[in-house]
Amino acid sequence: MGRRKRKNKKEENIQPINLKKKVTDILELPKEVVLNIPMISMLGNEEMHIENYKGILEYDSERIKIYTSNGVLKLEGRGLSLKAMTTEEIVIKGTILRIDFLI
Amino acid sequence: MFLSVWNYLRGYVTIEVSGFSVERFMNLASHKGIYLWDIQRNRAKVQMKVSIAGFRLLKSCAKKTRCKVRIIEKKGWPFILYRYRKRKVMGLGFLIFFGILYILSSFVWVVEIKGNTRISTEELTKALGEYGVKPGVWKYKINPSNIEGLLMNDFNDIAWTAVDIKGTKVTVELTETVVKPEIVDQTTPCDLVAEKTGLIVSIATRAGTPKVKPKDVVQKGDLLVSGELIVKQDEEGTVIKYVHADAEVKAKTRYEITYDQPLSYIEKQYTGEVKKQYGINILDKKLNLFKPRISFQNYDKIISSRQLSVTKHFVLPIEGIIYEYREFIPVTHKRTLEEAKKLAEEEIKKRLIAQMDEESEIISHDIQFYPYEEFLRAKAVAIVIERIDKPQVIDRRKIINGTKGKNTADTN
Repeated sequence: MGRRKRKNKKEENIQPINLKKKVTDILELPKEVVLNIPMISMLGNEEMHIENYKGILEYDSERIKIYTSNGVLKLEGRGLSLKAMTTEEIVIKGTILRIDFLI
Repeated sequence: MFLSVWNYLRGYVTIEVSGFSVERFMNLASHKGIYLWDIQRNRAKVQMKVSIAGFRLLKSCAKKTRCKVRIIEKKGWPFILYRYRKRKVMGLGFLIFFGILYILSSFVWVVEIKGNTRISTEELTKALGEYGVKPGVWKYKINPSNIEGLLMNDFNDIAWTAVDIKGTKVTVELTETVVKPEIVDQTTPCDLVAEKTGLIVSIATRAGTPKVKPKDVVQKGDLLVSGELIVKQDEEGTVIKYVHADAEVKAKTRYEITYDQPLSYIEKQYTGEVKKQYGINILDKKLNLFKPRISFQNYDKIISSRQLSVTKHFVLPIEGIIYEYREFIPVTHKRTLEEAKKLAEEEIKKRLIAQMDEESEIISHDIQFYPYEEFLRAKAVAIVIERIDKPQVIDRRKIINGTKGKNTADTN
């Protein structure tokens, strides 16, 4: 009996998020605005724009970790610098060698 | 590029942040709305650029995250202003400079007139001066269309004019009317009289009654072709019709031209010695600087001037003048008789042709040379065949009397 209760709770938590996703899908609304997911654009491996992030966890010239609503985005590279940083957008410049999504 | 210009105008600081959690510091700063850029890591320290306004808010962030903030560089317009905050008069000087520049460029300094061939430039300049267009007037007082109208009114010869004010130059462009050829009214009855004395060679009458025939000698003013046409002459009386006489009367006329050709001429041999003098011409007032002592006995004075202008349109009323004095030695050369004769002949021919018109022919010319003091005198006599008819209007009273009250001035 205890197990069923836990299962129900889990299902209830997941359901509202899935409903939101479905609605934005059907209505074709911009997802990064509605769902708060980060939007990442890259220019080769030299430049990366990340919109909608929550904060910087780690910043080094060879490693950057960014915390987003989706999880942690880990970048490895050489000579990494932050070209600009505002509340919503962050621009990373340098030679990016590896991207990891730690969800 | 524009972002950096914008940032420079607002002023920014390059800072170095060192401490334990620089990332927390940056997060806090960006959450407060401070814009950071050019972030680089220097081993344990992070260097970044931040606006002046943002820098003030950073202090509290640094406290919270226990980071040390150090200013490396200050760049921007506000810093420069701060540096010169005591030099207020210099700022005033800047303003005065721009003010004077603007005011001076609001005057007219040059008036340029283009396109006039028959009307003299001085006349136009004087007329424009009366309308109020001359150097030194306030540019905005001049109304171009007004001036155009005034010009067209006062000068009959102007067909089109355009007045344009660009910078400090007023350009007046005009096109003159095409001169109407003098057409003698074909309806006015007139006679043809002789313009010159001569021997008639040919006469071709188109209208009127010829009074002379070839081989007649006529004097200047003699009647050649009469405009009276006798229509009927019988017992009842004579009926005369008055027409505009038209004929081509050619006669041999004589031209006499005398010309003295100098036998010696002076050649300028430049020694190469040049002395320069400079002068400035401001608003028609001449200012000469640095006049060297000219020890030359004979020299050529060459004046070259250049008008200063900022661009092609902003012409200033300042002219730079360079006076060059070139020394030369006059060397007298004697011309040979042959040379002199040739030159004299050419000159006489030129003068003769200038006096004649296109239809005339030179039949013969004879040049006599004889020496006269230091010159070679050439006397030329030329016989020319040319038209000598000239219309002369018949007196109105004659017409009315002749027709006994009936006005039969007729056209053909």
